[in-house]
Amino acid sequence: MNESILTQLKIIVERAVRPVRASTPCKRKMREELLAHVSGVFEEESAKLGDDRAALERTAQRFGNPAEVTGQLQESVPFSDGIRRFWEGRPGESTMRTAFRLAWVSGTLAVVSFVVALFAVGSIRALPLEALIMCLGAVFALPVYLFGLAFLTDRMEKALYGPTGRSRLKVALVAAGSWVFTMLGCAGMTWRTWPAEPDYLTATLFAVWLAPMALLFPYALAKSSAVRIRYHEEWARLPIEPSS
Amino acid sequence: MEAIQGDKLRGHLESMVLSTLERGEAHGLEILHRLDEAGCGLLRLKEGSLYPALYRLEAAGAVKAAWESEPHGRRGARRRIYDLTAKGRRQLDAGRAEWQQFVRILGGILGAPA
Repeated sequence: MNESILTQLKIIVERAVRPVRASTPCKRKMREELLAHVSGVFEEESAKLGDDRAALERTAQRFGNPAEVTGQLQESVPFSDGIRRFWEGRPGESTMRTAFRLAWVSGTLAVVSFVVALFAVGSIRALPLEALIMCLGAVFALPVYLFGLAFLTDRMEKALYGPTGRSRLKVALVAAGSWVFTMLGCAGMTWRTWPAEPDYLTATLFAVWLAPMALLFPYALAKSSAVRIRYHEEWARLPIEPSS
Repeated sequence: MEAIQGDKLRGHLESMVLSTLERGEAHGLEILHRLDEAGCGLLRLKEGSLYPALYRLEAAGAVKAAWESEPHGRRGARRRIYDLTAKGRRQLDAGRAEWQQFVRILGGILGAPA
């Protein structure tokens, strides 16, 4: 099977899958499985008819009306996929929008969890002041952290896959920025519990322990985001409109 | 004999798929071959419709699926292998009982008992 045939088979699949509203992993599953199917059908038809063009036409015919298949695929997408799709965001979404979306959702979830926890405890007075401050700190820190993480991930992605190629200096700068940001967040959340006498050893050990995580989060997210974007672009390039 | 297609198949596809998997695990194209064979070549199913039915069955726990390990020359596209679960067997039994009742009732109305 040559490259041109493979592209035509991908187009048959993409006509049905592209309009489906589903997360990237869900659409990836559909695309791969349907592509394997139409490839198998094409091989069967090609062996039977001995002509690639006729085999392609017959493959598309056997596959069915793409609009109908789209509707059926859409109905098969589980409700839980909507949550995944929301976290994933739209392809090509701006960093600012991503940051606000993550902050808004995590903030809402944190506030709801806090209120539920308060109801479970019985009263706000039942909580020690230190614990209450820590909880409130976490409620506000989570959306702020995710807001910042969205920008750090974007910067890391540019440092790793920018037009000029990978820049080690920029990766190091983003990692350092992430580390400082995470340290400030942790310090802000725990300042009430600090001892009167500074404990430099614990603080240093904590900072060292935090460093790989501060690097890992934006790095891993940037990598997975870049893979998702490349995958999306590869399929989005296919011309799915019927040629006149 | 006239081919059976479209609306006449709707509503029975999931039970038909489950019955083909009773013979053992299979990927989508193999399921279609089994259906074609069982229907003596008279079933005209739009093949793209099979996969949404399989996804629905998988979500309902009636079948389980696993990616094959090698794409076998299909340029990186792997197939998923479907297998019947205990829940799927129960669903198939229920589908058969429902079908028998349907045929009995309609056969009586049409004056053509099964």
